[in-house]
Amino acid sequence: MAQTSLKPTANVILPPTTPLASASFLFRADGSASWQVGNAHLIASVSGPMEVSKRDEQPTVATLEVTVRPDIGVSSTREQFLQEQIRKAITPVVVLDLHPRTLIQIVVQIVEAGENKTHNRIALSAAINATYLALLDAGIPLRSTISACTIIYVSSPDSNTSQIAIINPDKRQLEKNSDRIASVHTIAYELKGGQIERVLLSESSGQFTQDQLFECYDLAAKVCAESNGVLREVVTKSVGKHNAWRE
Amino acid sequence: MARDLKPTLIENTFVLKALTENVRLDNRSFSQMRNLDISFSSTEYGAVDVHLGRTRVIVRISAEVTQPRSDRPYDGLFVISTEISPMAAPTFEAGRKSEEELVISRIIEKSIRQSQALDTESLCILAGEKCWLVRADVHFLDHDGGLLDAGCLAVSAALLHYRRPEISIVGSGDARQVVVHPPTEKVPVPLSVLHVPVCVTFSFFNMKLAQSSLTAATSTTAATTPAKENDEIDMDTDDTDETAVLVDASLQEELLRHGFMSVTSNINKEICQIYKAGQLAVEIETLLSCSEAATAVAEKVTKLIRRRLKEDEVARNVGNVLEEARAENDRLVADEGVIQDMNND
Amino acid sequence: MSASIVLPGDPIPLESLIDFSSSEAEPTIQLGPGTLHIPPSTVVPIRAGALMTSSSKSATTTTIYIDTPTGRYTPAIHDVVIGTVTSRFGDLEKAYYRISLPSCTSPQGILSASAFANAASRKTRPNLAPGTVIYARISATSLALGEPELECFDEKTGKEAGFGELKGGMVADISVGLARRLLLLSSSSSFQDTQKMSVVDILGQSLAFEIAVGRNGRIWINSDNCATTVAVIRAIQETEDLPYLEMQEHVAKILKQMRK
Repeated sequence: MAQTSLKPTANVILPPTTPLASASFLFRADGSASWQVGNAHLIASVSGPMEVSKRDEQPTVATLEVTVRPDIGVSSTREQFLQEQIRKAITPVVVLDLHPRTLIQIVVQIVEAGENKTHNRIALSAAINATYLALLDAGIPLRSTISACTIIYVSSPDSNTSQIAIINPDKRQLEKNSDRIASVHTIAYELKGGQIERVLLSESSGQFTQDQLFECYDLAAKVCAESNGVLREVVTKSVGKHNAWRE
Repeated sequence: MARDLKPTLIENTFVLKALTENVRLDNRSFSQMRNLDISFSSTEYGAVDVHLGRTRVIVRISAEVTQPRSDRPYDGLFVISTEISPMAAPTFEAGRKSEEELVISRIIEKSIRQSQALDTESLCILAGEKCWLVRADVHFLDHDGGLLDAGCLAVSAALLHYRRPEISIVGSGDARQVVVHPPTEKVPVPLSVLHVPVCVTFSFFNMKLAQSSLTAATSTTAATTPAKENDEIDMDTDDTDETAVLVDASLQEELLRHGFMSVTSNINKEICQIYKAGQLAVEIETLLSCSEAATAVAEKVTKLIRRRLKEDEVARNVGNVLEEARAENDRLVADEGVIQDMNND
Repeated sequence: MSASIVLPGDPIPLESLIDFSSSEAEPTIQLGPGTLHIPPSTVVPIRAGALMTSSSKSATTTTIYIDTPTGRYTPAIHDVVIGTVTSRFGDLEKAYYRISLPSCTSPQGILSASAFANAASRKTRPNLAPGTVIYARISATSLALGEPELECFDEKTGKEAGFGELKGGMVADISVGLARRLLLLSSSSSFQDTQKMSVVDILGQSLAFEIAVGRNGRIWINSDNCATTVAVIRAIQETEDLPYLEMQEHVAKILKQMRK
């Protein structure tokens, strides 16, 4: 897969800003991270490995518990869906057999959903990124890194040209194009040493062709490689902070 | 799960001993609050982030149009949701209410909803048919004591910050309909907040008990005296000097205290509620001095909230967009001097 | 000291870390915390942190590990920990204590009542109430059993050696990384050549106090008065992430506040 840097073209609209991330700011949880992209802002916390209730105990591996909490109102199917997708994306990467019979507890708090309550367009990719960074911060053993992004395809105003891809759209972009959104894709990649390894999660809705999906994967690979850089920056800063005493 | 929240015996002894020497573990004086920081979201209305020391709470206010209760046709609805997730501390289980959580939600409810901080009558749109449902979702992110105080002032601040969408009623008779205008169409309007309740929690330590446990600690049998017996000792004392009163206890102090009292008041020196359930008995003088201290804190906190609100408004109002869109534009300019005076004191 | 910072899955360049050519004997690589061996010959980090190497045992053995500042403590044999007695079980002849270990991946440890220096007879065995703080060493761990076993004596001499119940004083929580650093600086001479002192040494120049550091991120401090104990705890907790000079300044500030 080609990994040249991202450039805006006639058919690709880049987000105005790179994702804003931070880690290690909660004191009670073992690991914490926040991820801001578009108008979405999510905070994830990780506690563990710690004692697991007898009911959830697994003899050979650690148990992953994912809770997603909405910014407004009570938990609904939307949060249930997010929980399942986050679990699906991170499970292959967590080394679960190093801490059998323990619990790794993940809580994702949506601070600002950055989109209408009925959708999951941008929250899912932000949630995966925040969760992964919190896992790193908590020192949970991991095989590789994860980066996720959201890409929406909107039909262009003049129906002749092909569809336009908007990467990590913000609220204004979503609202402006609300009746022209053709398809929504959330893609999470596994990366090793900054290089794309494999797709961990691909969640699409709407109408699209196979070619378009493959094109979308290529585009997502570039976006994820970039946000992987953000991840590395945050970790370098936080590890550097903890090593300040050596100076 | 990490259930090791129970303090150790030496923590118990030490914290009490330190209090007899007028020392708190974080070097504060007995009446000193931790650093308080309030910030508002730059994109959403009614989203506030409160840091009280290491405790952190965020609140989101939202509103939707719904049907009023049949027994109160002229009132809108106001709901405060205070579920504590394991993010605040792993000891909280998702979906299960602990006793601590119940007390917190009840006092916030009493402090804000029952004190009529939000004028629910102003939320009525069409009597008996349509009204606003205002929701305050309190999210506790980090727990180092004082969840109640931080949560209460966060709800107060968020209510002041929130703007609900403007509505208009079209048609007449049975065909009447409520149209909700998005913020791009009509400028959202603030809620009718009647006063700003601020809750302050006072933690009590029985120094007589401290003395007795200290003498016990020096003898070899200290370890065999379980903490539970201490609770059963008759706690009424005649001398008020024997009770140490701490403002804004940290988590450790909360776990070790012999009793607590939460006082909610506002800048007008009105007491909205007092919560003092069981545990250590307090003298009437203590109650009065605590109430006085609570109103002083309320004044300070309210002023900080107002200052932050003003800063937020300035930051949002780049290019004077809001002023231009406002109907009462002219009047507001005339009143500006007065408003500024109010904010300066 | 300028170690490179790695993320999970990053390639570890073994060739540049270990000299395969010069030594006569085949170099041995020991995998320390935070690394995972993927057969046949790949080693990857499984945590984010500074990639470190050390060759203390012999010149031919190099240990590779990832220095992770955050996260919980994973129990390892011979480590010293500070725990709290939560309950007692078993009969009079064979009594055990359940010990809670904060910030540890196995929250409970087991301490036999006979794992004390003077535990030969039932009379001399200590009787520990729930809530008692103990200073102990991990004597056995097992991934299969989970709960580590603890002992309260020096296994070489059979003497008490400071282990057992911690009486008086105060306990406080610090990060697992800081606990490791404090233990490392007190045991090794790694700082002597740079003329730098640990925060504990600096405090020790002007204050008299006792300290015990548990590998699981818990410290115990005892001194004549509460103000000193509080100052020591604050100084240790608040200077964790400060560079050396700032750390000295902050300690001086805390001492000044204390004397006021």
